[in-house]
This record gives sequence, structure tokens and C-alpha cells, in this order.
Amino acid sequence: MNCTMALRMLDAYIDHELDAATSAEMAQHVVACAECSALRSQRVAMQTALRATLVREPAPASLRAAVLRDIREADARRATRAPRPPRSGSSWARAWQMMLLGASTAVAGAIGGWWFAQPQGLDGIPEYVVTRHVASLSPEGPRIDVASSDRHSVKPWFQGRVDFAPVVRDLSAQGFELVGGRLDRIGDRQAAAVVYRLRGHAINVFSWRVKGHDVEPDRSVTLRGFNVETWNEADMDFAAVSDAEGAELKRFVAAYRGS
Amino acid sequence: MHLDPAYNLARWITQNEAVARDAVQEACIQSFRGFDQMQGPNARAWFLAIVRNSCLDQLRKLRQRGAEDEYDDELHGAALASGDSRSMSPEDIAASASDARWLRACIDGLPREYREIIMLRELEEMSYKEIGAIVDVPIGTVMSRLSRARDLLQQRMLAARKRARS
Repeated sequence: MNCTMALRMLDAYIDHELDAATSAEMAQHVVACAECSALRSQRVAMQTALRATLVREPAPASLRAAVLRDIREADARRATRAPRPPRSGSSWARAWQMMLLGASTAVAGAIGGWWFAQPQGLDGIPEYVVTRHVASLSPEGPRIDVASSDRHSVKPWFQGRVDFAPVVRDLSAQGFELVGGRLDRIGDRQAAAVVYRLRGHAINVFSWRVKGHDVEPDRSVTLRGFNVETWNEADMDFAAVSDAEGAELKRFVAAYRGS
Repeated sequence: MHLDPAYNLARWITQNEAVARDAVQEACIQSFRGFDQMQGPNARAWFLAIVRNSCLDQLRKLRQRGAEDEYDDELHGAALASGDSRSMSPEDIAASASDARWLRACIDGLPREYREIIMLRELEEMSYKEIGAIVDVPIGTVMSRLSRARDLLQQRMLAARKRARS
């Protein structure tokens, strides 16, 4: 390796873009050649300084909001143009939003409200939750994988079965009897179902891990006679469903959330 | 996730807050429409390529209207003059580049091709391959352009220092 070649490849060298053999030759040359070594030091110093000094500025909130508004409009137009698109309007927007805005919870929350307002809406998490709840019921009681009223038996059971630790609380003092736990699904996500009972009414609490949120925070809906409460925490979404009265389910959720 | 890089790239390319915002908004709509044509697993590179094109479109429109922003030499000159040293040893580079305003002014003085490639490499830490995909040039060109951009930046930093000294 001579200096002409070394100079040509110096940047690729410090950027680790050379193949192993060429990189080794470069290293040898730089050790031997004072001039190239000095240039290398300059380059590395510049790169280090640039990376330390240049910081990415966050996009202004107003720009974020404007983008979301644009997408909402574009999504509405899309839905009218193609009555049955391969990916339905809002889930399309959702996928796009995940790609673009990803981890931003605040934005996910804001846009989440909009998904649900869409007629073809995330094919409605509450509707889905009710379906899973009904599927879990049998005349003998709710289907469970681990039957126990001891939260120290139920919670560890989920270890290795889901990639999060579901909330399992002893709520017997408030009148809610822990029945057990079960593996379930919400859409394409793996969910933990924790099952309680209140005077013969089964309560399923589904929890699943999310990037952007799937459900609206603190929302109550009634579907087919079942009450559904949804809420979210840092990177988890929750839905409680039961045929118990709305007020009772609210009381349950408050107790379950430990508030 | 990708909106912040998009916004930063747009600002580096257009050097104008309002134009950058327009370009990002436009790029978002375009990426939304073309989401099903997204190529490869690298969403960020795909999206940034759209953002870059959108910026170039916006700049083209501005030029047609003859409303291109004037390059404010005085402002940049003033910022550039704030550095203070004799030569560019690695230590000097490190010391002067820690002044973010001064450093930004140096980069701002570079032609667009060089600004964007430095931004993609040093701020976004993208690989040559990703940069090639975004800027739409072969990897060899990424290598030589980045090398040239760094040479120029170093020259500008040195010139700014000299100016400060005299």
C-alpha cells in the first residue's frame, strides 16, 4: 500500500467500510507512515467532534401535528377511492405511522383516537376483546390455563410464555376473586389474560405489549351487553371485559390498576 | 422514529426552516401513498430518500419563482470568525468543533451535496450503502464525495480560524 492509495481509502478506513484484508493493509501503512497517520488523526478528530457536537433537533410538535392531519386526509381519500384496499385504510395508516413515528407515545395516543373513529377502524380492539372473552367462556366457567387464586402461582406461570410480566393482584379484599391465567391473542399480538370473578361474573383482563398504543386510554364501551374498559401504560395496553355492570367493572379496573 | 431525522436532513439541505417543513410534509404524504412500494427492509433509508427528493423539488420550485434565499455571508462570516487558533491539530479540531454554532456555520457554507453527505454520515451514522441509496449514487461515489466533503470542511474550518486571527 502506498500513500496515494492510502489517501484515497482513508475515509472508508475510518468509517469501517473497507473489507478486512484492505483494512489490515491500511492499518499497517498508517502505523509506518507519519504523514498518513497525521491525516488519519485529523479525520478521526473531526469525526469525533462532529458526532459530539451535532445533535439532532426534534421535529417541532406543530410539524408532527401537520403531518398527522395530512395523513388523516390522505387516508380518508384512500378509503373512498378503494372500497376494499389490500390493507384497510386505518391499519394502513397505522403501519405507516409505526414506521414513521414509532415510539412516540403521545402521538400514538392522539392518532389512536382517530383510528377508532374510522368506520373500518382497527377492526376495533374492544370488539376483538369481547370476542376473545366470549370464546373463553363455557358453562363450567372461563377457560384458564393456570387455575389458582394465588397470584404467586399465576404470575410466574406466564414466565417464558409471554415477553412481559402481566399484572396479577390479589383483589379479594375488594370482592374480586382471582381465578387464574391464560395465554390469548389480541390481533396478531400475544396477550396475557388474567381472569377474576365477581359474584359469578367472569372478568378477563387482557394485557399485551405495544410500540404505539392500540387502545385509547381510559375508555369505556358496551358491546353486545359486555362492558369493556381500555387503558394503557408505558409500553402495554390493557382491556378488561365482563358482563358485570359498568360501574362494577370500573371499580374493578381502579382496584386492578392499584389506584 | 424517522420524523426527526427527516426534519434534520431537510433543514441541512434547504437551510430554511419553512421550506424544510414543507418538504417533510410533502414527503410524508408521498411515503404514505407509496408505502406499498417500500423497498427493502430499511424504512429509514427509504423514507429519507423521499425526503431528500422532496427537498430538491421544493428548492427547484423556489428557484423558478426567483425567490431563492440569499446566502447571508455576513451572518455566516460573523459566526465563522468566532474561532480562534493557529493551526488545525487534532486537538484544535476537537476544541473548535465543540462550538456548535461555529461548526454549523462551517458546514452551512459547504455546497448542498457535501452538507447532506456529512449530515447522513455523522449525524445519522448511516453506512455508505444506505447513503448511496438515499443520495442515489454508487458506493464509490459516496466514498469520494464524503472524502471531498471532509477536505472542504477542514479547509473551511482552517480558513475561519485564519480570518479570526487576522
